[in-house]
Amino acid sequence: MALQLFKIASTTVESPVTNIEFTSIPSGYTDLILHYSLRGTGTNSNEIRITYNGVTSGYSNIELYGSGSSVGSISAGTAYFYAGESPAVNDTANTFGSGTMYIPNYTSSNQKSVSSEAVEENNSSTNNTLYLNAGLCTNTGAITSIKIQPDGSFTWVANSTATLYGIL
Amino acid sequence: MPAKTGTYTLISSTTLTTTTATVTFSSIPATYTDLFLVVNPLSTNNRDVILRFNSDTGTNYSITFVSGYGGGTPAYSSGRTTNQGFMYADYYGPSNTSQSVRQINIMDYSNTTTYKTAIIRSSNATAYPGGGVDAIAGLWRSTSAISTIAVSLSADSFLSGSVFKLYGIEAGNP
Repeated sequence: MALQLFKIASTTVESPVTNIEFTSIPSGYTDLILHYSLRGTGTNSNEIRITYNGVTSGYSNIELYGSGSSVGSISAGTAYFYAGESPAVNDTANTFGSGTMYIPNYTSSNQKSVSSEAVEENNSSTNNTLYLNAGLCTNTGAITSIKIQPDGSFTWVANSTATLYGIL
Repeated sequence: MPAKTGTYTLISSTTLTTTTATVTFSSIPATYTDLFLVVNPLSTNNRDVILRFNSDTGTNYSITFVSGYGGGTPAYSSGRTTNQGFMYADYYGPSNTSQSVRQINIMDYSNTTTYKTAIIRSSNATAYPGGGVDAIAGLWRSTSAISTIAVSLSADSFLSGSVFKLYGIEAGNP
């Protein structure tokens, strides 16, 4: 029986918002895929921070990044999944950062591990980076909500989008 | 009429309830365009996840990788292995007792003309040393259609709770 990649929900920002959140995520899928296209109101870049079920502790992350002139790897974050960065105010107008996060076994009672990629490209000499990330959260609850927010008190600008898919 | 979207079909799924050395997907139908294998391995002693196709243990596998492990000097690397008897599905983020993810895309797996390639992402957020992020390009030098995939560790066995899911992907209509 052929089963689909189902769109659970999608959001397009119409005016600046502090976060994008998907709630009441149904439990009938095996895995989740989150796609996003984001631009923030920070100065140069905005971190893409993802939390689930309102949990704000127990996260760990490893990132591999390449900026075109340098490459590096860091470990960071205990309060969120760190999913790269998006363009912001000083970056080329109308450029948004795209990314995807794969979330397997989201209804299990295990700790949650995720994998994500993001691109921040704006045809300039600064703030152009490709991000590959690994994330782990020690919380074992089934994922029923996901929130995407920038660092600090910044916001996502109009025309930022996020879509949540379920895989059967 | 809206274009048909690409379809993921769950071919087989296994969650281990006992310690197991190898999980094998066999009799994979040739009716899809690509395969997508998702593995959440659990193991002791930081073992690598490895793949073999069609029970081929010959030195017909190679990979090129870029990896980051969040610590050490430097905290990243790129390299390759050639003429291996298996295909690595991680390199600097091996499986351990923490939850982690392997995403393995195997393109055009059923053709009988070309060698088979895979794009692999491995994500293990265990703090350095032990975890890592890998992006891997894999090659199996065989023109045979892939009908069997064996998933193992470089040593030891998968622990109970490890999860393995194989999807077939159908192309969408233009």
